[in-house]
Amino acid sequence: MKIASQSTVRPHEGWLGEVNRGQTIRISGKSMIDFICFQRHNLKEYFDTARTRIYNLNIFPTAGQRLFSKQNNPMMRFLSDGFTGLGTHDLQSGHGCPELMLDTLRPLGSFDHGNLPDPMGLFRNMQISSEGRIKPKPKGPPEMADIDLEAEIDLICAVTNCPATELSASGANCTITIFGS
Amino acid sequence: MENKTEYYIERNSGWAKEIRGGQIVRLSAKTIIDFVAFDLSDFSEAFDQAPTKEENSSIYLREGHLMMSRTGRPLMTLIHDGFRGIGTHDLQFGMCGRARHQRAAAEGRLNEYLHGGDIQIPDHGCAENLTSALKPWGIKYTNIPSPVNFFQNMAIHSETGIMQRTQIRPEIPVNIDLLAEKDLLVAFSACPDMASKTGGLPVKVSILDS
Repeated sequence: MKIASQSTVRPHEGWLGEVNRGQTIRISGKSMIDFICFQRHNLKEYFDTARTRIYNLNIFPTAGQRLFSKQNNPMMRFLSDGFTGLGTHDLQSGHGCPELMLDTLRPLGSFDHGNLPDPMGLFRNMQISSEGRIKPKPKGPPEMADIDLEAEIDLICAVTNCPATELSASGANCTITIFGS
Repeated sequence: MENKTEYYIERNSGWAKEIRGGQIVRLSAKTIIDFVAFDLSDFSEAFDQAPTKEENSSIYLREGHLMMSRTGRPLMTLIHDGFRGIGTHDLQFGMCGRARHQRAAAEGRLNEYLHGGDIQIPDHGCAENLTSALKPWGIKYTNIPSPVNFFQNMAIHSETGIMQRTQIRPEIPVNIDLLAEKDLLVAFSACPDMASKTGGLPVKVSILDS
């Protein structure tokens, strides 16, 4: 598929961009990456972790699932997950780097700690015991892994490459590729 | 605890009240309650599931746990859990409501409510109840956080992450005591609780001075 754009996001940097309906965003990385998205024509409609968990009836986001908005509408399809078999992505935690995400969202205006949506934490690999205890088990993929998400509506997506200390002090670059037109 | 004020909330309706730090909210029920709280001096400091789970290192809210705000400040403490040993309170769901029910019906997923595929769906739910209860304070749906869902016992598989509703509820109404850590606006919806054996039931709420 045709590449519409490609960007490198260094550790402790963010990325903000448009993803059109039908396009796929590929997030390639190996350190912790937080992801959120907004309906482009109404920023009050945003990715919501609770609606996403409940729609999929699963606490771990992965290929075959859909991402949902606070208003219960589908936003993205999780097409493929290069972390499968290696670890899990997280829908339980807040932002690893909330200040960095707020900086990243600055062009959109009007975001602060009070209305920043909780993220999908890629490569965060939280382990949850049968009693519900949360145990961070930092373990990124050994090689860069690709996460492919297809936009079901016109979106603005935001990514922070947030190599939290528990994962890696140095972190790794992350690549954002948009496929399609 | 000398002073006590009681309210009775009908099934599938909402309630909201300003309370002072140090007061205790006692919920007495045997069906699901979608409960939220806001710092009275700043409604953007709303209850948030994520920092609550991080603070308690637990995906369930248990006795002794804190309910945290968006920026990670304590709003309430669960000081007594009458559901302990029977089931767990949920921090995964958002709110039921018209949009969710209609999507479940349209996608043929009503059987997930454990009563077969041709159940009647209510025309409103917790999303509408909380929106309406919080309207006098000017809080809109988009600013109502995902609640703590008391008595919503979910089966969660820790390896696969797969979740299922269950019908585990208290046999008789039990108490949940929540201590306000500061002045708060609290609100809840007596959920229609479509998955339970009884369906939604009324909730008694008492405000106790400690």
